[in-house]
Amino acid sequence: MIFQQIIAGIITGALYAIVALGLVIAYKVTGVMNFAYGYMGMISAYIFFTCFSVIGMNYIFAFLISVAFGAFVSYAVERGLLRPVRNISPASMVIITLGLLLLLEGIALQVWGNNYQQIPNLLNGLPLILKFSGGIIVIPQQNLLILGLVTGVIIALILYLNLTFQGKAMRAVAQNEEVSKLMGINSSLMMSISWIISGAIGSLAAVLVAPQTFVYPDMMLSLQIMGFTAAVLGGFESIPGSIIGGISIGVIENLVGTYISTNLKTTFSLAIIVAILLIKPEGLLGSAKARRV
Amino acid sequence: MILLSIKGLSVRFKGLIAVNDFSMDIERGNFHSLIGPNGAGKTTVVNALTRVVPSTGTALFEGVDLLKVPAHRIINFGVARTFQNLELFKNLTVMGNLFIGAYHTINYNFFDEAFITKLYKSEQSKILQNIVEISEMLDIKGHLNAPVSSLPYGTQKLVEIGRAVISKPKLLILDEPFAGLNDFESDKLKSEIMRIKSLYNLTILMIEHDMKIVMSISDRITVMNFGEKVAEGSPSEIIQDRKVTEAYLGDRAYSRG
Repeated sequence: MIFQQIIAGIITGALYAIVALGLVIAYKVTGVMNFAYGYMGMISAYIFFTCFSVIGMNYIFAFLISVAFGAFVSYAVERGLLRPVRNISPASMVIITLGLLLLLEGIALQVWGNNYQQIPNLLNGLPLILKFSGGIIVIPQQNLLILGLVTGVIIALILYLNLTFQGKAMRAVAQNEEVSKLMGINSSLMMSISWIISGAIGSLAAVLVAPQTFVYPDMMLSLQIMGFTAAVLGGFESIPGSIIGGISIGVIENLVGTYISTNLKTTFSLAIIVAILLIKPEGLLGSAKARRV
Repeated sequence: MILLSIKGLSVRFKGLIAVNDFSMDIERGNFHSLIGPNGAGKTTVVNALTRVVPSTGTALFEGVDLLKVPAHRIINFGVARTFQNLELFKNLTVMGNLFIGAYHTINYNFFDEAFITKLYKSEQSKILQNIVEISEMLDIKGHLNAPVSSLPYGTQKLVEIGRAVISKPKLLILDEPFAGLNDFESDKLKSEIMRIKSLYNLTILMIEHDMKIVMSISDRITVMNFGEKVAEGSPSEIIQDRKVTEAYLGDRAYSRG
């Protein structure tokens, strides 16, 4: 029983973790907390719904289109809405993302209506069943898919940031934009790339979670809040921190939901996080003297 | 032969004139120092040249007006600099910092990396060789894998110089390289800078307050005050220029160090 809940928690947590990761990578490079992040993903989920259920495209093809669409939207938002005010006021960039959240919600309502739209799972085969002396664990194939894709994305991202010259350049921009420029790094390109990656990850999360939540304008609300929380718990500057943060929140939430109260699971897990942050305000893996210039 | 010719350079910050109609020529191969009291606008001139702050005027570098080039392209023309307050990538190792310094020399792309092509391997070993060569010369080879934030201040300064030199510049701009160093470190740095200069045929523009070093190292000196040039000449000419010594250097500057 407890193992089953921990596994389920890891899968929910994996989704929190990539949402946190997407937020953190955009924040590290451009310094903007994207409050519209989940809602940008929601639009991608609707694109998937339209391509797959309305037009009748192939599942994987629709999946790729919606992720590419999300990447493009993210690029356009950073380039078109945030870049022009970048050097004027950092605070107004945050307000712009809040405005964008309302705008995207409105667009979704106008275009697709308020109905809950259903998306089927990609994999509907027999669940994976593990039996051992302590009990039995059942993992649906869709959850294995989620786990596999999330792990793949995380590994690819870490390899990209640490091993490629472009990834190193991106980390340099995150640390010191002015100096990076003088080293010949096109910092504006790096900012665009960071938002493209972030947007693609957000769309991926939305499409993966859509079969469970249904597709509706506020479908990403809780995932976005938990993603933020995971990022904060991890220190908001740290990529391993986001992953650990996301997975621990997922596990805590599931255990609280099972053993204490389903109604209280969000409240309770947020309370635990507040307690952790009271003891370690910089987050699990954040640096105490985090600064952005 | 003139490498860099600055003409009518002006920088304004919201009504405050930081640099006013400043002109200066730097001869190829020279060690040129830019001196003057605090707030004279020396660093602002360098910031304008490297496009950190917007400015008006021209700065012809081998026929290219640097003031029309975007900041991230400056290094491609052969201008590299260090900073008054260390501006290293603190979360990276010494190796990582030097790698970023060599960034603009990279001519393989993402796919070469993904498939580990021949080009990638040969370029990678070339960069690594450069990193080793420069770190040996600056005596920081033992620290290559250390995070820069763990190193002493003087060593971090060497790393910053290494990061600028590895980009193979023609003009190296040093902003107060000797500030905060003790006599022993200063002497060491001085000989290292001279060695690098002759080895790589560098032209150097240095901002510095330590007059003893400036006088001993420079071929030519430009003096600034209140955003304008007040004198220019060889060290002996500058020493004899009474206007300069009285008004801008003072007795204190000579007794320093």
